[in-house]
Amino acid sequence: MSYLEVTNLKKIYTTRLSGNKTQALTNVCFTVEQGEFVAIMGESGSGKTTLLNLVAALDKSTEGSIILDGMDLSSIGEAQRATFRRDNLGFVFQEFNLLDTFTVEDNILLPLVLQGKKASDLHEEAVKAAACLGITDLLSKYPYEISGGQKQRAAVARALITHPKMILADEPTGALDSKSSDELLNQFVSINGGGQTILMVTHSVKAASRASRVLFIKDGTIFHQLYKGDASDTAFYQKISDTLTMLTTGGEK
Amino acid sequence: MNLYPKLAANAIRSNRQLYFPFILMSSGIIGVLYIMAALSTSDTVKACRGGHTLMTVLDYSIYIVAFFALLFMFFTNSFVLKRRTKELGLYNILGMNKRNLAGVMAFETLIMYVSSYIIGSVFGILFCKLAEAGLLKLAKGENHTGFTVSGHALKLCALIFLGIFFLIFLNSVRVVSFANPAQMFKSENLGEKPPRANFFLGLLGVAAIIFAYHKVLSMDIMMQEKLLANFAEAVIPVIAGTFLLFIAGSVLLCKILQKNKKYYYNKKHFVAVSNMAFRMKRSGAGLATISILTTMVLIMLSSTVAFYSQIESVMISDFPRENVFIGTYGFFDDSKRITLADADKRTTGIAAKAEGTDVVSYAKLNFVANGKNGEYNITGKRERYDSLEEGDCVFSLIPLDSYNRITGQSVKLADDEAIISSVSKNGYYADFLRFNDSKTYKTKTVDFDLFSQGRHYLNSFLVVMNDVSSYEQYASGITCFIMFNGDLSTEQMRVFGKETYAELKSDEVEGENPYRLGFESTTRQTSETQYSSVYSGLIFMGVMLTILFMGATILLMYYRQVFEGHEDYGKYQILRNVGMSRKDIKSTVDSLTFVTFLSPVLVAIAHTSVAMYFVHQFMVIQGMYGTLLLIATSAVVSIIFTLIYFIFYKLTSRTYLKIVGQ
Ligand SMILES: Nc1ncnc2c1ncn2[C@@H]1O[C@H](COP(=O)(O)OP(=O)(O)OP(=O)(O)O)[C@@H](O)[C@H]1O
Ligand SMILES: [Mg+2]
Repeated sequence: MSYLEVTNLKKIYTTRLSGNKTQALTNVCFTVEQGEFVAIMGESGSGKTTLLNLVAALDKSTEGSIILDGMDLSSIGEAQRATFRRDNLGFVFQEFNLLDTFTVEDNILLPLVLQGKKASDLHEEAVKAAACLGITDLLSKYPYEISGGQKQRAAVARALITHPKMILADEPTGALDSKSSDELLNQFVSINGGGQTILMVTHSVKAASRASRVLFIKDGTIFHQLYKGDASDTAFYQKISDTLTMLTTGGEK
Repeated sequence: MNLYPKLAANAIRSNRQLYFPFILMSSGIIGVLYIMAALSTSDTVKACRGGHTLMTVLDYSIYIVAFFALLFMFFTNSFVLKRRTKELGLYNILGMNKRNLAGVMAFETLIMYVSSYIIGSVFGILFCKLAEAGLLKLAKGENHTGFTVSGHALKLCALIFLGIFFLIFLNSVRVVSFANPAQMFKSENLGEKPPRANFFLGLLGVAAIIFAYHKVLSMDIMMQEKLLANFAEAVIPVIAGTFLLFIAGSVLLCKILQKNKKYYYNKKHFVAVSNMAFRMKRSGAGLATISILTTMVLIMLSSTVAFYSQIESVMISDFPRENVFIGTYGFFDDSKRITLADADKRTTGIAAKAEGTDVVSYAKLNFVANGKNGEYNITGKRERYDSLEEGDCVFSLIPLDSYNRITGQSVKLADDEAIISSVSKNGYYADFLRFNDSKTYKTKTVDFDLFSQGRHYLNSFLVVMNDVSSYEQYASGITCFIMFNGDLSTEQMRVFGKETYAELKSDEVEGENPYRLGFESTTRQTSETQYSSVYSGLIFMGVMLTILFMGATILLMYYRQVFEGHEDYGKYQILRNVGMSRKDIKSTVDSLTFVTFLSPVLVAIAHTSVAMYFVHQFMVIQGMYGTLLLIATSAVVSIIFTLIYFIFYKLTSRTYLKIVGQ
């Protein structure tokens, strides 16, 4: 059985005031094996964030099922879901989602504190996580004092600190320069090598080329997918690039 | 321009979460004010005994209420305004100039004024009769008129609130005209800086409160003229200290808690503490205000209720007989003196003509002496005219004959013996008495109630000895008492009073003023009515102000929850995404609730307890000794208030939870 199984997933947003409906996902099916590094690509508004949110059970689907690690998250209680998310998933949000009232260090430590880790070990953990992402100097600063890219790295550190089984990252390199994003991706590849599963949304072909598989999403469905196989990063880059071109031109028909 | 009213009505409708409570509160205040104004001119109230005094108290209260109304409405409106600035900023960016904005706001204010006035008046008219019945019950008056509407009250409310709303409008215009659109647009989401803990201010706050507490607790009741002034001097440091405590002290506390890793990095405290460190600085002022309002309510209600319920006992001890006539000869340098024997003779002479039962009459010699534990130095001060200082006591001397006559006993005393009664509850603790280092008397202490006319002076002692004539030279005055039971008509009282006065001045020579003679005649009944009407007026005002303060406190609480809910929405969203369950979040909110709910109430209770010491002193001066009663009243009032407050806190915090998406 796969680590993640998504079948016939459908999501319709209804705005509360006007009652307008937006179909974000029409029919999504895919599976992810344990230890895979999957990138998701697609145009803006194609439903990528929606998909990640559903996988992490942050939102309810309209139809379809998601089985994660053998469990149907929608069938268990809210408290258990929160615990599962905390213990097994690391989420890097598109909007970083750092808390203004915490220092960078405390933001990074938040999941550990929620897990009830001993206070004495915490500082060390924070320093270790920050060192991997090159933000050690920023630990005592508040979010309003640091740049967007630095916030993004802090958010990544927060997602990685619990060593989660699966990392869900929504454009983790969106605010980074090419050097920092290379470093971040190296980090992802290395933890992926250690067995952690990664699901990453990205607009960057270069970032996607580091993954082992790329899913293309369009108008709320999985349109196409590419396996890296034994191809080199450069070869895979070319392949992805071609597919994207085909996607856009094909879309216009 | 036709657009203004439309935009204004629209704004109120779409911000009803803010405006409806505000309109409700101003309606409430208008209702309360209407009731007070209507009662202050009501014929029924006028008709009851002491009605005139009652109406005066009510009349004053109207202005107090109006003043607080102005404060509350300004304060709450600033909340509303803060949330509105963004919308107004948008209008501004979309091309409305400041004049247009003022136009919209003028209509908004007008709508609020008119609707509050209509709702408030209806509310006032409906509840007026009920309030009147309550007041009359307190003042022991009779209720006979039917349902009425007071034009005077309607007019007064309309005018006062026109003024208040106009000021609010001016303030809104001021706020909007000083902000630039970008600022207005952003005003809700300014980047948050962590507040710095200001040790100095935090400590200053604590110091101010300690100073004020010390001032109140070390008050000397002897200095009764200074008592109120002293209390007033303590009020400002307490208010300032409370604000500093909540604004700076709480941030300081959070910082200290954050330093304690073990405490801080705990699931239960982590989010709550860091949230509070940010929050307190801004909401500190709100909490301090709630705390002060609560203190006012607690003090006002407990003291008026305690005072009111003691009137009767005071009257009995103040008026051992129903009718009392008191003449006081004051000895100034230029005044003619009279001997105690002479005064006593005149007093008993006129008392013989009194038409009543249980007639008591006597004359006593008064002087002020300074000292303690049996050793006193006569100061030559006049008890009524010179201010007393620490250690000053008022002594009244009575010859043994008079004592035996009044009490119907035949006590015998040796020449170096004296009987002492302390009129105050301070008691006399020495077993001897000596004035000016001369003769020493052995003393025994006795309680006799018939002489309790000394409630104005706390350290006053009544001394009985065989021969008081050697102290006549020191006397600052002589007081003559005639008291008896019996129903006297007002006319009889007047006639007998006139006769008594004439008798006391009997050696008057034409064209000369022989004595400085003060004279008063009262009956227990008149005095009691006087007191109950004053205190029932005060209780009534207390209840009205309590309703008002409570309303204001609740509204403030509500606005805080709405505000903080909107502010925290994103925060809790993030926390949920990171893996906090609803339950965790709820327990965080609850622990925040616990602190923010409890802290103002606890501080208020501390303030109240200290203030009760002052109230107690004040009560003792009034001749009321119900210490237990006072403690019980304030405890009950505190508990009831805390309960009501708690219920409303729970209700409003539900709004908060709803907003943050729980
Ligand atoms: N809370 C919401 N309510 C209503 N509609 C929404 C909501 N969130 C997203 N949508 C709509 O659903 C669609 C998919 O949105 P989604 O955020 O998943 O896009 P995305 O692929 O992440 O885009 P981007 O690359 O810009 O982040 C969009 O059309 C969006 O307008
Ligand atoms: Mg997205």
